[in-house]
This record gives sequence, C-alpha cells and structure tokens, in this order.
Amino acid sequence: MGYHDDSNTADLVAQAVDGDQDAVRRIWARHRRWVAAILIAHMPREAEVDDLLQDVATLVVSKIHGLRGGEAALRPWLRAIAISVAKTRGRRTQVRKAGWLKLVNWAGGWSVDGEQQRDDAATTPLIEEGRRLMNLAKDLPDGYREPLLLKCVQGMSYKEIGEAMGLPDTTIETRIARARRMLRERAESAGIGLTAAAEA
Amino acid sequence: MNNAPDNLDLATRDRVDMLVSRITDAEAGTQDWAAFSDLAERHPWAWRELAQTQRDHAAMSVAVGVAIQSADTVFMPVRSRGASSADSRPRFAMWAGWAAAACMGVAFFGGLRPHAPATMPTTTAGVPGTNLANWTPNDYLKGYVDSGEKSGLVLGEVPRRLLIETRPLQQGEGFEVVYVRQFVERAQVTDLLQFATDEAGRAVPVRQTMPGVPGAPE
Repeated sequence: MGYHDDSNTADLVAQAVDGDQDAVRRIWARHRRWVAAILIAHMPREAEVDDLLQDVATLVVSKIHGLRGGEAALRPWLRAIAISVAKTRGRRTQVRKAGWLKLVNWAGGWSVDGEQQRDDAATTPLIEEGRRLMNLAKDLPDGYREPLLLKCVQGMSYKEIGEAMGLPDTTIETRIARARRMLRERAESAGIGLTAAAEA
Repeated sequence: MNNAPDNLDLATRDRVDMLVSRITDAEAGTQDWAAFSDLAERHPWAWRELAQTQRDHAAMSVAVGVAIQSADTVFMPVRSRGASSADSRPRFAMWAGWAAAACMGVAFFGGLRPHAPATMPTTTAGVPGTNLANWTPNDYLKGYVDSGEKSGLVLGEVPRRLLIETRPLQQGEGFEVVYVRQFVERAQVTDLLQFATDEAGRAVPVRQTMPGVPGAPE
C-alpha cells in the first residue's frame, strides 16, 4: 500500500520478531495507512491521528518480539494495539497537544492547527462531502464503522479487513453494505447527497 | 436509502444493498451484474442507489485518504541495519515532529544518566570554551541554542522529551533510555505549500494563504 517492497510478509514477520529492525520498519511502512484508519474509527473526535499513530509505532517496535503466530497474527495484533492506543490515549494526547499549539501560535504568529489547515486544503466539493460523511460514519455502531472506514483505504479487500478484524470476509461484506445504508440514511437527514447537490 | 419505495420488501432491499456495495467495491462478478440488471429493470431506483453509493464511497475514500496521509510521515523509531548514527538522524528528524511532541513524555529529568560523565569545559562565565576539540555534544547543543536565540531562529527546547526505549542496565542499577529532544524554531517564508489529495487520490500541492496575518502571501 503505497510502499514498494517485494519481501515476503511471513519472512519479514519472522525477522522482525527476531530483532531485525529493518524488517520492523518495512512492516510498518506496509501497514501504517490502514492502522491509521483503525485509529480514526476508534479515537475520540478531538484526537489527532498522527499523534496516536506515533504511539502505535513506538509500541510496535517495543513489543514485536513477543508477537506469536507469524503472518496470520500480524494484522489482528496491529489492530489490537491501535484500538488500545485510540481508546486509552486519545484524550490524554489531545490535552497535551492543546498546550503545544498555544506555544506555537505564540511563537510564530501562524495558526498551525492541523484541522484548520485541512479546512484550507479541502477545496473541492467532493472532499468536503467526504469529510462530512466521515464525521457521520464515526457515529455508526462499532462493528460497522471500522470495516467501512477500512474499505476506504486504497487497496484493502474484504479478505484483508476480515483478517485484521478476525471475521469471515462474508461478514465484512455484509457489514459494509449495511453500514453504507445506515450512513446514507443519516446523510440524507443531514442534506448530503445527489439530491442535495442537484438542488444546490 | 430514500430512493427505495416505502413498501419494498426487506429481502429485496437487502439484496440491492449487497449488490450495490459489491459493485462499488469492484468485487462484483458476472452473476452479480446480471442479478443487479435484473433487479434494476424491475426497480429503476436501484440505479440511483448505485450512483449515490459510488459517490459516497469516492468522497469518503478521498476524505479518509487525506486524514491518513500523515501516516506516511510516521516512521518507526528504529535504526537500519548497519546504519551509522548520522544516517539515522534525518529519519528521526522526520518523525519527531508535532505528532511526536504530544506523546509518551516521561519525566526522567533529574534522573538522567549518560553513559559517561559529561565534561563541560566552561569559562568562568559559564559559557562553553572555544576549544572545539574538547566540546561535548551538550556543548554543541548549547551553542546551537544560544546562537539560535540571538538570531531569532530558536525559540527554545520543548521541555517534554519523547521516550523511545528503555532497557535495564546489565551491570549496575538503573536503565538505559533512548529519547528524542525537540526544539522550536521560527522562520519566515514567502510561500507555503501543503499536500492535499485530489479526487483521483493523488497528492497535489496546495498553496496556502494566511488571511488576517500581516504580510501573508496572497
């Protein structure tokens, strides 16, 4: 996913468990994007995904020697770490970050607030619509929100999502379909959709 | 979805949802397409469902892509095999940004013990001496901070350090800690570019404007 590396995943996992730090780095490069999507699915709204992702990276490098089960265990293991970080550290991180932003605002006179920068960058209607949908998706039930967001990560198949969540790919497919219907119903209540776009 | 009639039976509703979702995800086979065509012939609203779902998925994929884009700048706090410490420095610099600043600070100040006692050749005024050969890393760092503060480049060191790794010492008591120190710098630039994602999911530079900031680029 966005990282060219032909190494066999099973070999990489074995090497990483044995302490090969290059292997750990390669594994991270392959998986960090979907791990970020897991964080988005589970973190508090006010938390920043890159802050939490750094926490995940630190935990991965310090704990991977204890990973058992080889390649098959990797995705569930990464997901468990991400969910734990999102739920336990999300709010604490945000409290600290507020202090940092004040310091930087004072120092440079610029707003470096990440949310504000994304607002500036979200210049196309589709991106803006996507952000509104993503916000609505965060209120979907747990078991539906996560596979829906993971499906939006380029290249993730039902099978890969199922491996990460420990569920059959048929279950993932059903949940994604239902999540889409739930999301659409909420989007229509919020005035998001083709009808709203045509009327605008 | 409101495109469907209110009196539609649940089984048809679920069947359309599944087929639309499968087509949207490019997982539909020939049979799925045939089944959808058959359903859509009897229920034309299904076409609108398909269009709306594809649009929702495209919009959300772009939004999720933007939201997780920063993941590519979060690197593992490990060194490459055989890399020198100089080689690893840029990698640390890349991931130790604001993201790093807010996480896992550990208060080990005061208890910090370097491998060897640092010699701090100072003048009577407490300023590092000018014999560079005797300077320790801390002397160089102090020089960077002092000089940077005078020039306006450096605003100060971030008080919280980012803990990367701890290991019990094999001999004696205590721990070896690996950590990141960070410094706040200030610079003036004429232009700012930020990478956003276009509708095809490609990273594109977007020129930033700073309304309300005197002297900001137009």
